[in-house]
Amino acid sequence: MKKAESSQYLQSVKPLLKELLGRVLDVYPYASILAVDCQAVRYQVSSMVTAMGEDNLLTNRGFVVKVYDGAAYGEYSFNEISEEKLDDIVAHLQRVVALRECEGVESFSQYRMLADEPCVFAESTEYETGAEELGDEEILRRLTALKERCMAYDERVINCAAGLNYQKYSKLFLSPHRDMEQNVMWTNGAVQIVVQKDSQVKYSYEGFSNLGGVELMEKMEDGIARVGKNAIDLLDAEPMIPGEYDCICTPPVTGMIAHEAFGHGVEMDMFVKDRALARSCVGEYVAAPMLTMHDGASLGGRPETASYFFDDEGVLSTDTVIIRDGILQTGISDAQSAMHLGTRPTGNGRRESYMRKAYTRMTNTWFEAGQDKVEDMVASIDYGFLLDDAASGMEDPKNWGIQMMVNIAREIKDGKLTGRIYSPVVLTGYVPDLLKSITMMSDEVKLCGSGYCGKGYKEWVKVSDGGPYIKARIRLG
Amino acid sequence: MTEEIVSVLEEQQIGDYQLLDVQKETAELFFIKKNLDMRRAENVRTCQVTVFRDFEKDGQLCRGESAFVVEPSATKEEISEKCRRAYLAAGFVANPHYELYAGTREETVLVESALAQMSAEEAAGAMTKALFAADDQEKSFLNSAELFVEKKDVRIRNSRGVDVGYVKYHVSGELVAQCREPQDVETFESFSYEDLNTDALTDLVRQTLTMTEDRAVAQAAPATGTYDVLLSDEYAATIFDFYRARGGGDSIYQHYSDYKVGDFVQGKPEEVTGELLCLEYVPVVPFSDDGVPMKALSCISKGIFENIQANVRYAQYLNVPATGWYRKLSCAPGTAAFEEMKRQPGLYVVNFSDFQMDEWSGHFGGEIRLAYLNDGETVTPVTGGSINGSIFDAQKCFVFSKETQDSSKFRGPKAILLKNVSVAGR
Repeated sequence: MKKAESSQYLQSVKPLLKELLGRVLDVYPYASILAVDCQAVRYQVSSMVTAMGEDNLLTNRGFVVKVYDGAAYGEYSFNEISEEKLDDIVAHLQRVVALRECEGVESFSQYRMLADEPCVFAESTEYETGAEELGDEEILRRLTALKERCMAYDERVINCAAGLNYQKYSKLFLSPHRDMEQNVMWTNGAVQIVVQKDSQVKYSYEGFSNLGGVELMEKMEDGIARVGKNAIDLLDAEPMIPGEYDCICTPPVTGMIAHEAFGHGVEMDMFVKDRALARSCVGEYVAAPMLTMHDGASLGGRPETASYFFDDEGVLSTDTVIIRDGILQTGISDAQSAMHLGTRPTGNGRRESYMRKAYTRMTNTWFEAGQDKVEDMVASIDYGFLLDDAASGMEDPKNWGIQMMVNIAREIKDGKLTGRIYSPVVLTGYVPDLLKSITMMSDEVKLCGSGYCGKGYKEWVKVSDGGPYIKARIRLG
Repeated sequence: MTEEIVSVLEEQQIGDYQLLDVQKETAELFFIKKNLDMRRAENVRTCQVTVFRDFEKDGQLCRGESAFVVEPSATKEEISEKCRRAYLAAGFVANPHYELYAGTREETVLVESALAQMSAEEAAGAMTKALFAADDQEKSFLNSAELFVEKKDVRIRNSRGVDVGYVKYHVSGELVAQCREPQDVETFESFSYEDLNTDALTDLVRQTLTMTEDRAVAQAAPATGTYDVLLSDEYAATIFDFYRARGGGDSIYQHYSDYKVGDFVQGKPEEVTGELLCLEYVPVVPFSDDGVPMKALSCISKGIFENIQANVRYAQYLNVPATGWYRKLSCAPGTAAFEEMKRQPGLYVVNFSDFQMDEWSGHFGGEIRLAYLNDGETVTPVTGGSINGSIFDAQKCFVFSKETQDSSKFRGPKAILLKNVSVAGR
């Protein structure tokens, strides 16, 4: 295994960043600098188009300075630095702080100064094969071969795509007492098959992920048959008959429940704003006693694409047990929210990039395994559905309403899959009702980190989620 | 920075290239209730460079391309290395050949707006004042809000003479309204304006506060069944995303869309009993990212598809004029009065947790956060359940309001009635 490399650029500007930190601290009682150098490359081969290049959203290099003015915090993001520009950067920062005085602002939050316990740290994640080592030509050749196998799956396939993308990032966090460095690399893959019947176009997709390099491509071959079958099955899908049913959720659907339905509700910046029902439920049963739920970026937990060593506020990552045996234990938090609530930050302060604010964000979110076999779970259902192919979800931390969509509901009758497919399917209901209705959980946990999570409709960060198969009672429409 | 990039491209004898140079400045305010909780600013410049390489494969002329990002901190050696890798990779990307858009150098266009006449701080102040102007209700209040004022200075250059640019201002954000009694509920709304639309923001806050008070008294989900569903504002606008995507050259070229110019695309003409679609692509920037001047263009007229919107590449693949990619669509309004539409029996959904319009399958749906159920006699606020419909059915009998709306992505009817939509509820 190799270690993700340190950024030579960040090392070269580190003395300048320390000088900048010193100048800012001459003006303000606290300051920190987060410096990032990210490179992301995307490869895509479809039957009609091939693409390869840097991902312009995930490739960036720049800095954010955060200051405390004695009452609250302000930040300035920029990507040009030199000895000559340091005074200009400090002047910009002072303009930011002066925004407190702008028209319409009647009052401002009052915070204490962030804790700044000493920490000197440098660590890197590991990988087997780097993209540069394998070469762009070979990556595109392998994706082309995957694409051709997808096209050959069935004559109703009109297009398909095989894609790969990776990001390697280096981050430095500097404050009066902290000097931290981390270097991380993750890789994602995807197989998508598009089929057509009359004017209807249906598709299915499967994502692959790892905290590592392009060795991930070896797993992608396995997905073709699953994706092809799902896409073809969807051509004969029937509209869902609304109702409440016994359901088996596949691990990606379980993951979506963990993330969208529950996870967003325990982001503690929502506690600060009085936007989360979970705040009043700590210590209470919110799920079936068999359920335990985690979130954490710690590499000691379940390493996936959202793993790191410290968050974007310089807080070391952790593995947080959110629900233990059905009882809500705690939420997850960024540093500022934790300070407001009088709790310890959990290393969940994340930014979309150095250009954006840090919020409380999930990382790798998952339910622990149970003891059941999937075939026993299906056999236990008189009439219900196997829910697969998670599509999208939206949080509702205030009211714990469920809004999720899956592409496939496979009918189960008398303990057997009948072959009938219903699509698309909207899952609704009340989150604790769903979680308390869980009666069986399979004995294997799977996570996938091929997606991104938004806060509302923006602030996209890499996350993973998953869990075992679960059996629950769910309202479908 | 761009001169250094061009010098590297010339040194490496890269004949065809395109640069998208963006300087972005922002002022950002984050509120919890009326308290300013965080303030931020951004001053960032990035240049996206695309290099092109022509080669023959299986007797066909191919054009490969690969892009990379350059920031002001990049050294000449770093730019050279990125160029080298991209040009090499472009040789493995065997797409059909096309030519870049040819043009000349033009002065930067300032997209006129009131925002352009003031500093970011002044604009942030004016929008803050507008944000809280209606936050004076007894039962409901603004829980939190975020406000972003943005100035973008964009320059587009390519190896075929295009050297054009524009400066554009934009204000956007989101807000959460809360009402604690009798049930503690909230409503999330986002906003996005191309001008200093202070009145629109104040109106949005007022409407959102009222909606939140109604949600606080809503008790149950509607009964499961089929309803005439009325959508307004952003949800009505979202329905039209389907047509914008289906009219896209990339979708058509890759067979995701079966639209053909001249075809009737609203189902079978004899089955259409509602409004015939009249849609137009609306430019919000003077030039596309590949330098094509953008102007208003018909998309669908009386149900007949008239123009493909496509960037330079897909336009040449499909042998149609390059139009650039439009982010905004307009739709001719209907004749129905919005107030009259609300008086008809049906379900008027004013807030979803996340309304989705799938551009490929034609499915639309979402979980209902607040709707008004009109049974012909009384109107009751309801919450919960979901709607689940298909545009292929709905487009046969559209009813559009005569009142209109105008946002960053849509100009057209304020409301749209979708008949016989499945609702999963009690």
